Amino acid sequence: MSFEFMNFDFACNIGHIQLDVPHQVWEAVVAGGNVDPLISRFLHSTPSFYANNLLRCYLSYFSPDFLTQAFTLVGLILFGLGLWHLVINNHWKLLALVLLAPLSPLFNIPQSGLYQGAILYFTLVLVILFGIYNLFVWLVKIKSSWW
Amino acid sequence: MKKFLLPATFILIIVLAFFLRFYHLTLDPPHLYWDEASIAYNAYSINQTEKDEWGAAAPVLFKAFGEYKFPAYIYLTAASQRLFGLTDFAVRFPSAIAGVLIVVVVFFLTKELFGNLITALLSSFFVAVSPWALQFSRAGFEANLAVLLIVSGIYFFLRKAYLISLMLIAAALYTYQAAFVSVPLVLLLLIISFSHTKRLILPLIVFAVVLLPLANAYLFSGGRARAASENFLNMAGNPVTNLTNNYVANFSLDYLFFHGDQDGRHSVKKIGELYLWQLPLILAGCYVLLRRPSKAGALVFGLILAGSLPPALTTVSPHALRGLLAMVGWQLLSASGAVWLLAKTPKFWRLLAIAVIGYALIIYLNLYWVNYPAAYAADWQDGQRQTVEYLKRVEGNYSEILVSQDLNPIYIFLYWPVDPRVVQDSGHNEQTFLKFHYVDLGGGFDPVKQYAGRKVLVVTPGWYNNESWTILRAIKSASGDYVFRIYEF
Repeated sequence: MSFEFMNFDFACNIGHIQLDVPHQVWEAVVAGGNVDPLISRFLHSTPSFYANNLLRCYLSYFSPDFLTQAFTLVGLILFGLGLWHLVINNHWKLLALVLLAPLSPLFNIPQSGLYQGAILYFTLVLVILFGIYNLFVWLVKIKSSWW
Repeated sequence: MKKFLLPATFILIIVLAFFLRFYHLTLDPPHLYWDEASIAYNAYSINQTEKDEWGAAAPVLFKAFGEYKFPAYIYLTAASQRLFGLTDFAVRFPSAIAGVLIVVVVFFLTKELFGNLITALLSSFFVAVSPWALQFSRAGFEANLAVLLIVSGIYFFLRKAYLISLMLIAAALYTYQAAFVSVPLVLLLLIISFSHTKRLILPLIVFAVVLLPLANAYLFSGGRARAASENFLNMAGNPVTNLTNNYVANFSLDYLFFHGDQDGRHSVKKIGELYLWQLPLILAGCYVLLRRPSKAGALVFGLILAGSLPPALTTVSPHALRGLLAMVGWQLLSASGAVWLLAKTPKFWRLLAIAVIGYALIIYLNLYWVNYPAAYAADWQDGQRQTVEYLKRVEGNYSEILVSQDLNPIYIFLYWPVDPRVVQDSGHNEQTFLKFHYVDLGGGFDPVKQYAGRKVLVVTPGWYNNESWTILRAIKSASGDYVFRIYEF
């Protein structure tokens, strides 16, 4: 694992979203021109910008490029494998933990980036370890079937 | 009822695809960008002289700007120009019609792969409304034609019509360079998973023979220039890390679902290459296809993985144009997931899903048809045609036309139009032809002194200001920015 690429300064968080949204609203209003306010609200609104940005930031912590930066391509593949086995084996509690982990950097809870990183990366590493375990189980199964 | 409903739905999807691709085709994107202009002029040159703009007779690769364009789209445009004349529509028509045909072929391909009409209808619908597919169907992009040929090739391969299949795939290789990377992988997957090897030998020999002229031109006539200049090996840093990061970038959730390709010609930038509502469908699709591994699933994932490889090998990644083949795979994956989810959801959720899809389409179309032409006019070189058309109207009163480098000569060649023989006979002189002289208006050059006693038109960039000359016209782009000013002295 390449710790030097692990980012503990999470830029995609609620603070940045709060700064971005007014700019996005302004941009949409300018681009829309003299559109009827009702149509304008239908096409874009402050809540929709917040929802979109929150979802984008939340998902960015599961994005393959983020995972590759942190854990290399091998880590990404093992993460996928671990996640797959969590789903098909119905490990819902662990899965819920994984799904909740990005909320820490997203909402700056706790405030220290180091703690946010620890929470996020710990859960991601857990999934990778689960992936390694399942890979090992699979290899043992193959080996025994060959013999 | 069902017998009637399914064909009617399929026809409606084709009509929708046709409308979305052809409505205001020449107005949005607002202008031919320089590659389209180059394709159009080379096609015109072929029609007029049977040679390209450089004087090469019926070339396999077109030198164009020096990047050596692949030939299929140019020859198709030449045919299109015979039908529609030397118009902007003629150069965009092959891509737009290919975009509609992709929707049709994806339907039959999915039906062949999964044996399920609903999956086939959904995948063709997803392609019909896909921002990724629409963006490249509405301009003269060779990649769109290549994707049609590859997808058709795969369909005929599954139908065991190997010769037709391989000829279509060979045609794709004659269309777009990125196909060189993804096609061998897709072909390998098809041969391993779906073929009768003995029946494939003769078609493969014919395939190799058909590709010989292209291989010869590519290897020995400068065809590799573009690939060499944009190779990922030119990037700073560790090549393996660069290749990995480039490849994975094509699976970035931000790229796929939120912002898309950041080139103004490749997306509207405000939404992803795929709709956000496709994310749960794709996750469900992964679940369905991985849970019970099948040849169909292997092909879907193969299209995504092989289709995402070409951008990884270049310096710019993600790249929606070079990775366009992956779009088909993503839509098939979405459709597989959608069918599985449909079977598990009550009617209320299905209606809600239809509302969400409709809303997302309206949001996208508003971005594409209302905001995009103005916001990204500069990316489409808007203003060049208007400038040449104005010059053409008034040129009779002037003996010389001085032009700054900002007005690309290809637009003068195309919209004047300059007889291709003039360009060929001059040894492709882009600096001085007819009344045009390309000049550097800075650096101590005094055109008034140089052309004393003559009536001269001067085309300058939009920011240029000269109060001692008489301004005739300021040309604006769709964004409202001044692109060129035209003076006389």
